Amino acid sequence: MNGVIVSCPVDQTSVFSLSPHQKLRSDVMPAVEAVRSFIQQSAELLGECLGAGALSMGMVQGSRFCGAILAQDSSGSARVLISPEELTASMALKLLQADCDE
Amino acid sequence: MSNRRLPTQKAVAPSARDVAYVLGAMLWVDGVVVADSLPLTGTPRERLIQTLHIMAAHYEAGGLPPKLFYFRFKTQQLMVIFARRAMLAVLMPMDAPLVDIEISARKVVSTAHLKGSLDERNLITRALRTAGPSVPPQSLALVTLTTESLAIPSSHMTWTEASQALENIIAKVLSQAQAAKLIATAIQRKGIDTTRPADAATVAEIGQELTQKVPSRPIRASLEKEVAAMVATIR
Repeated sequence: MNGVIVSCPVDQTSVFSLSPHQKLRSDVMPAVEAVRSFIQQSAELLGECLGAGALSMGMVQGSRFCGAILAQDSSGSARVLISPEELTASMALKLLQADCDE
Repeated sequence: MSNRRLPTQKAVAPSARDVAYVLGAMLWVDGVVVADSLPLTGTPRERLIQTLHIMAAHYEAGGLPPKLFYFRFKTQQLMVIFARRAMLAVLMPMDAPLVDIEISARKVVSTAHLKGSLDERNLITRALRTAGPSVPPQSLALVTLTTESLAIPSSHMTWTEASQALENIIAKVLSQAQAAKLIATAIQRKGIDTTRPADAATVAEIGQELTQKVPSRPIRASLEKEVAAMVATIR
């Protein structure tokens, strides 16, 4: 696994749209990339064990950082949340979905 | 236009008390599996355990421990919750009530290292004692054996253990360091001899002092319940 998540401090909760050809703001790119890398690699390993199908949402929460990804469609589009807060899984899901509906 | 009122249909929320909402769970304390009902055997099971430890180790490489991992796949959800001495993995179907399961799981993992802390009313505790639906008979025997060790050998709760349990609860709204500092200050202010066993009344008092600092009423109520459940385990 690559990327160290807790070394990616963020100062506010933000939700971003991600598409395969979209460039991220440079200030949030390290955090988003670390989260994406961690979740994708973890999901691949977990998926092999569980056989539970494709990943629709992944989340990692620590003391000072929360990152989550919600897949939107098969084209690779996704919503990404990064936050300095401690969020519950249901709250992270709600924030990602609420933003999608806007 | 008719004035007749249509019968209202109340949405029936799935009951979090139903163990069917948990496919299986596994609880570690100090790195040792103390309860296991995951519906996996053989290589997938070993790889899952290995993967969870790799994920935790990778996160910790950044200098801080993880608190929660959550993965929502097409047909199942996996939640992994961490406390200082315990780790809990919960496998759920897609229709599981996530909020209720997360609250129950946090309660279990925050006090799992304490003797008698597993509350039978908690759906995660029941799930840990109940084998998953696809566990073959040989694994059921294993589950029966492991549930015997759910009561972790321990003497009366020490002040260190009580402080840790309080810290795990309060750390849900504060950083671990802040929670530890507030608890240490409260213990010092009360002139408590931490070499003696913790007494329930004083632990409850400190817990109440700390939860009163939480401005949000629903969060405060949730923490108060957790503190009360933890205090109830003190003899």
